[in-house]
Amino acid sequence: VIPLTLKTYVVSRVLLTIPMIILLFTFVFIIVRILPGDPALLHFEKAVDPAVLEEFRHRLGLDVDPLTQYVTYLTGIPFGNFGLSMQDYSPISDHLAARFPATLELTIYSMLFAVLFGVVLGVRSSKKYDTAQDHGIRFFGIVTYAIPVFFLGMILQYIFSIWLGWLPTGKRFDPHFATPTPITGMYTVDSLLTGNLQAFIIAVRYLILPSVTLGLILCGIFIRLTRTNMIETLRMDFVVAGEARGLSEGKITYGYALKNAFLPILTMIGLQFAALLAGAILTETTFSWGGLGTYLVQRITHRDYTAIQGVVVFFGILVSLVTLFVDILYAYLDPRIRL
Amino acid sequence: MNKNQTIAIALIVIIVVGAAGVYLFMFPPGPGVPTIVVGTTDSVESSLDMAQSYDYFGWEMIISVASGLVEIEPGSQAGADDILPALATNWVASDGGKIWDFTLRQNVTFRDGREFNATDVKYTFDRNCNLTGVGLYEEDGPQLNMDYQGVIKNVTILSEFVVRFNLRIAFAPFLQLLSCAASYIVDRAVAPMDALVTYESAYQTSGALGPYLLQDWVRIGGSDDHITLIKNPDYWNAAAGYPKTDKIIIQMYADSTALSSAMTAGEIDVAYRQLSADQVNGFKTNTAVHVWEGIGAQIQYLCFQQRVYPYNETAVRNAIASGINRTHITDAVFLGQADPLYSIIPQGMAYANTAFTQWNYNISRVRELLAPFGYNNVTPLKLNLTYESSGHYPSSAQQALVYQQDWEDTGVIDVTLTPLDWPSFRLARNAGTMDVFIYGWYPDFIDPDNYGFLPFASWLNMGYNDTYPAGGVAQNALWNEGRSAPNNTARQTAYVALQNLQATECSVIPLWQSSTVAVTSLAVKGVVLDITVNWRHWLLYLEAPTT
Repeated sequence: VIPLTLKTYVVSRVLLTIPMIILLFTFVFIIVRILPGDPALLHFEKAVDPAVLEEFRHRLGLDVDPLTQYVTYLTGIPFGNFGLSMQDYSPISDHLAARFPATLELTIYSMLFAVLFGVVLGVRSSKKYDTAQDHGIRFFGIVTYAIPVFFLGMILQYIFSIWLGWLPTGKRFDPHFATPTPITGMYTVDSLLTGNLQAFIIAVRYLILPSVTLGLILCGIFIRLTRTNMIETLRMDFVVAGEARGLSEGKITYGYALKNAFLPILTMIGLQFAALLAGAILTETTFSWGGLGTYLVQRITHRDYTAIQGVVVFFGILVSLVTLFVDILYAYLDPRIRL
Repeated sequence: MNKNQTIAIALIVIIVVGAAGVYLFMFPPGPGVPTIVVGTTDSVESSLDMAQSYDYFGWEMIISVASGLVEIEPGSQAGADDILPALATNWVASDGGKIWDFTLRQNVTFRDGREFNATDVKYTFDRNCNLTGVGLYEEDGPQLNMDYQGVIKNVTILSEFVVRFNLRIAFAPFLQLLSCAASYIVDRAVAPMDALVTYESAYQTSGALGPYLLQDWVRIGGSDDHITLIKNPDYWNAAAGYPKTDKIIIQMYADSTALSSAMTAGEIDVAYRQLSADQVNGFKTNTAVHVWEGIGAQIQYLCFQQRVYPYNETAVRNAIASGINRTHITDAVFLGQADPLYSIIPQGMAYANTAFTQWNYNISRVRELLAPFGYNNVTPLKLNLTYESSGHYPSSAQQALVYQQDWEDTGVIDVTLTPLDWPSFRLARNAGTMDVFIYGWYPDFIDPDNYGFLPFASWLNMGYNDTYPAGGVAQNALWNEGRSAPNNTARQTAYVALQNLQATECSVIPLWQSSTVAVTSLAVKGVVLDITVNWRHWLLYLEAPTT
C-alpha cells in the first residue's frame, strides 16, 4: 500500500465531497417536486388569475422544465445563489446569511460545552472506573443523550428563568438595548470586536441556556467515548512509566493519556456536527433563537418550497464541509489514516 | 489541598465575584422611558404598506403607526353610531349614500412637517386602489380582495380640507370600511404612487400620522425579531393624552410555549394571541398576571357541497344542524374560550341575532328529519367530514372528533373524517370535491356586510346558487339591501331577514366564534378586547403598584 501524501489526500477528499453534495441536492430537488400540489397554486389564498400564476412561476423560475430548473439551481449554488423565496421573492441566500451566524454561534458554544463537559466527566469516569462515581457519570450521560432536547430546554427554562429568574427564557438579545454593531453576526464575537462589554454580557446571558441545553444532549456521547478510550489508554505502558518517573497524576492524565485518546473524539466532533444542526432546530424553537432552525420551521409553515430546499441544501453543504475538515485534520494528526 | 487546587479555587472565586460585580454594574436599575414589552408569535407577512399588507399582525402595526379618517369606538359593537372622528372631523352622506364628504382635521403634520390635507386622502386611495390607472393594485393585496374598486368610483378634492368619495353603489358600511387598516392614510412623501414601501425602504411603512412612530423594525431572514414603537409627538390626538405609553417593544417568540414561558418569567408585560386554551387556563390561576378576555371576530362554520345528493336537500342540512352540540365543542375543545355561534354574523356585532337556535342539538329531530330520506339505524347517512389539519385553524382535529361523536350519537349518521393540510384543503375547496367541510372566516372590516355573504360566497364553490337559484337570489338581495340601506332601521330589518333565511336554509351552519385573550402583568391597564379585534397599543399604560 502506497501512503497518500497529505496534499493528495485532501484533494481526493474534496473530490469525493462534491458528488456527495450534488447527490444530496438532487435528492432534495426531486423530493420537493414530487410533493403533492402545485406550489404556485398553493401560494395564493383564493383562485387566482392564470396570468398572475404564470408571472409568479416565472419570477421563481418554475415556468421552465424540471431539468432546466435543476441545472440552473445547481450551477447557481457555487455562487451562493439558492433561488428566491416564494414569500416575497427575496433571495434565499440573504435569509441564510442573516440567520446562519445565530446558528453558528449556538453550535460553537454548544459544541464547546459538550466537548469540555463530556471530556472532563469522561476522564473522571475512567479514573474512577467501576465506582459509584463512574456509574453515576455513565447514567448521567445516558439520560442526557436520551432526553428530548426541547424537554430538557423547558426544564432548564423553568429552573433558571421562571423559578430562579437568573437567565432569560429565550431570544438572542435584550430588546431594551441595542444589539452590537454587526460584523460577523455572532453577538458575542461582535460585542468583543467592538469593545462593547455590556453587549457581550447580555449576549452571553441569552446564550447560556440554549447552548447548555444542546451541549448537554451531546455531551453524553463524549462522556462514553472519552471514558472508553481513557480506560484503555490509562492501562498502557507509557502511563505506568510516567507514574514510575514521578510525574503528577494531572500531567499524566491530561498531558499524555488524553492526547492519545483524543483522536476518536475529534472524529466524533465532526460526526456530531450534523446531529447538532438537527438539534438546533428544536433548541432554536424552544428558545426562540433566530437561527436557521427557526427559519426552516417558519418556511415549512409557510409552504415556502424554494426556501425549504435552500435551507436543506445549505445544511447538507455545511455538514459535508465540516466532515471534510475533520477528516483532513484527522489525516494530519494521524498519518495512518492515509494508508 | 495542594498549591494548584488553591490557585484554581481562588481564580473561580475571583471570576464569580467579578462577574457578579460586572453584572450589577452593567444592569443598574434606573428610570427610563415608560415602556411596555408585548410578546407575540406573529410576524409581519409582507410589508407595512397599506397597498400590500393583508395579515392580522401587519394591520396591528399599521393602526399603530398610521391613522384613518375614522375609527371604531373601543369596546363598541362597531355599529353606525360607534364611529369616531379621526383624521376627519365630520362627514356627510348624500345621494342615497353614494356620495360621502369628509371635512379633515387641520394642523396635523407628517414627519417632515408638511400639513395633512385633502390631497393626501385622494393620493392614498388613488394609489392603493389604482383608481386612476397609475397606482398599485396588488394581486394578493387587501384593496383588490376587498373590492375597493367595486365600491369607490373616485375621490375628488373639494377644498384643501374637504374631500369627496363618489361611490359606485350606495354602501352603508362605508365608514366601517374606512376604519380598517387598508383605508389608512399614506405619507405621499415616502410612498410612491407606483411602488410599494417595503422593509428595505428608508421609512419601512407607507403609513403616517398614527400614535406611534416605527423606531426599530428588526426582521431577520424573512420574519420579525422585534419591533420598537416610539411615541409620535405630532399625533393628532396627543392633546388627549395618547398614546398613553411612550414606548412599546414587540418581541416575537417562536411558538406559544416560548411566549407563555416568557410571560410566566415576567420578561414581557403582555402576551397576546395564540396562547393555547390550556396555557390561558394556567394563567388564570397565576396571581401575578391578569387574564383579559373579550369577544372575537373569527368564526367557523360548516359548509356543504350542494351540487351533490343528499346535501342539496334542505331537510338533510337541517338534520345535520340539529346534530351539532355547540357547547360540547366550546367546552371540550376550547375549554370555554370560544362561544357557540348561532348566526353567520357573530355575537357582539351590530345586527347579529341567534336564528340558528331553532336547530339546537336534538337527536329526535335529527332522526325525524332524516327518516324521509331513508336514513335510519340500519342505513345511516354516510357523512364524510373534511377538516384542515395543518394548524391553519385551531384544534381542527379535536373539533372534528367531537362533531363525529355527536352526529354518531344520533344513530342515523355514520361519519368518516378526512384531514387535509391547508394547501390541499384550499385546492379541494376550489375543486368543489369536499362533501362537508369546516371553514373559518376572519373579517376584512368589522361589519355584518363582511359576514352575511358567506353562505353564497362564490369562492367557497358550494354550488349554492346552482341548487337554490331562488334562495340564492333572495339571500343576495337581502345582503345587498343591508349594504345599501339608508338608515339603521332598514339595515336591521334586512340583516334580520337575511339571518333568518340563512337559518332556514342551512346552506352553511355557524359553529363557534373565537374569544380574544391577552395576558398581562398586573401593572398593565388599558387593554380593550372588542369585536374589532384591534390591538390598540396606544391605550395601554402601566399603573404604579399600590403600596
